[in-house]
Amino acid sequence: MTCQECRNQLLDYTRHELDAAQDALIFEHLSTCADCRARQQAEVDLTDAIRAQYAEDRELPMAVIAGVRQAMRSRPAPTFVETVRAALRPAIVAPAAAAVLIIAGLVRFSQLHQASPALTSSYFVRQHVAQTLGSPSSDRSWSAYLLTSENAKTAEAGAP
Amino acid sequence: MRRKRALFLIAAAAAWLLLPCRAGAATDGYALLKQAVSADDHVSFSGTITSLMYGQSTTATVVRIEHRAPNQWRLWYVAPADAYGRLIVSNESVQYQYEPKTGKVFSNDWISPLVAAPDVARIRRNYSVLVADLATVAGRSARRLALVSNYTHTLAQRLWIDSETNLVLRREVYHADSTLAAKTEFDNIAFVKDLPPDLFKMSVPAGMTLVPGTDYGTSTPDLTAVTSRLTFKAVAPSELADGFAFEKGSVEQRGRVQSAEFVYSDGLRSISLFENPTGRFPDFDGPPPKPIEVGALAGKYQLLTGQTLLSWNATGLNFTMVGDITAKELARIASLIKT
Repeated sequence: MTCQECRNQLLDYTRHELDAAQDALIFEHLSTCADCRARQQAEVDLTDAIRAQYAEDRELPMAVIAGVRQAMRSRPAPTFVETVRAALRPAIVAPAAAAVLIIAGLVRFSQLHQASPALTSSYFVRQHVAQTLGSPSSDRSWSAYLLTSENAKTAEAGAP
Repeated sequence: MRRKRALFLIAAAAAWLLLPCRAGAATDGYALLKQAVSADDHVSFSGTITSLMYGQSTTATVVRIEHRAPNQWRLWYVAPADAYGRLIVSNESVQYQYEPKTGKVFSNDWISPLVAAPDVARIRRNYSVLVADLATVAGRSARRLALVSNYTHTLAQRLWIDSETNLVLRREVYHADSTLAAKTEFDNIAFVKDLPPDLFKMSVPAGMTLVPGTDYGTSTPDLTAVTSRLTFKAVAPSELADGFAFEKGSVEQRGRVQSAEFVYSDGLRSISLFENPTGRFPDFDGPPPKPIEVGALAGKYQLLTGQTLLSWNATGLNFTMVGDITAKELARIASLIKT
């Protein structure tokens, strides 16, 4: 990494907005380049000084507010490419990707663990009755009622 | 209330059994029972049957029934309300179920076990059959049989068998604690030489659609054939209730869950043991389940449509037992399953 490449990203680095790989490259460069390290330290010092100065809430003078509004109006709207580029910043993309991964994981987990239809107690009773129809204790009309009712329920549930 | 009813029934059964038997009491009760079970192979009839299932709430079915020997049946449901108008026509191999409400005709093939002969040798080992005096059911003379457990000496069933045709006209099934579990009775019956074959024709009327009915799996008496199909290691009980032995088993695939069913019988009563690798209780539909101890484990039981269901979990498996015996008895058998 060159010093210029480092300095271009120094602000983002200081605000922890770089992705892990880029962050590591800058960190490595700063550990070997005293010049860049000094610039980075100056940036940190400046930020700290500003924070210290404005630690208490203060109202901006009306002239400053008016100036900011004026500047905003005069600034052209961002192009489509700029909007997309802004949206693809790691600070936005990384949480979005993490959210997508979590949702996909949850969906897969639910598919694996909830796809099995619940076994109900009446399912076990019907199964028992069906397998013991030949028993001398079996009651033809009652057993047939139990087993055929399941078909009727299915048909009614599927009826439009 | 339940205890009073049980005591009353025990007393009634004892008195009933002590009644002086007529000369016909010498009749071999087991032979009579065997004839009764297969009597419908020889006689045709038309009648009405009422069945009552006792439990947390008593449920009844009323069915108009026509039978053409040896194997044609026509059942038309009058009650309960949700089955009113349902018509079932079968030849003991295939059954057509007509549902006028939905315009569907279901083709069911789970009725073939109906033709199985009773295991009289096993019944003889486990039950004493007593033949008592004549009685009248649906205006017909009937011989009365009482089946008493050789182990607990409690009444298991009472049968009223038509003196002329040997058809069972009335049946009472008792729990192990002598409470009445179910009662089935002909309200009226007329024996006929024959019935019009058209009554039993299995056809699909215009406007109705033929669809396959629910499949309940095919069972086999070969235990190894069942266990070899399983994707998990099933556990068998080290002991069973007195007189019970493995009869058959089956494997069912319910969605992604494989479930094994092992049926144990003492010739008269049956217990099904289900095992599946979910390790969780089933969804209890019907009345809420009650807690019960299965050895050192926590189980739940439920009385559902005339059957007792007991469920518990161990070593990643769910075990569920179903049978027409009490929850306490089921829990005792369940505690003998060493996981």
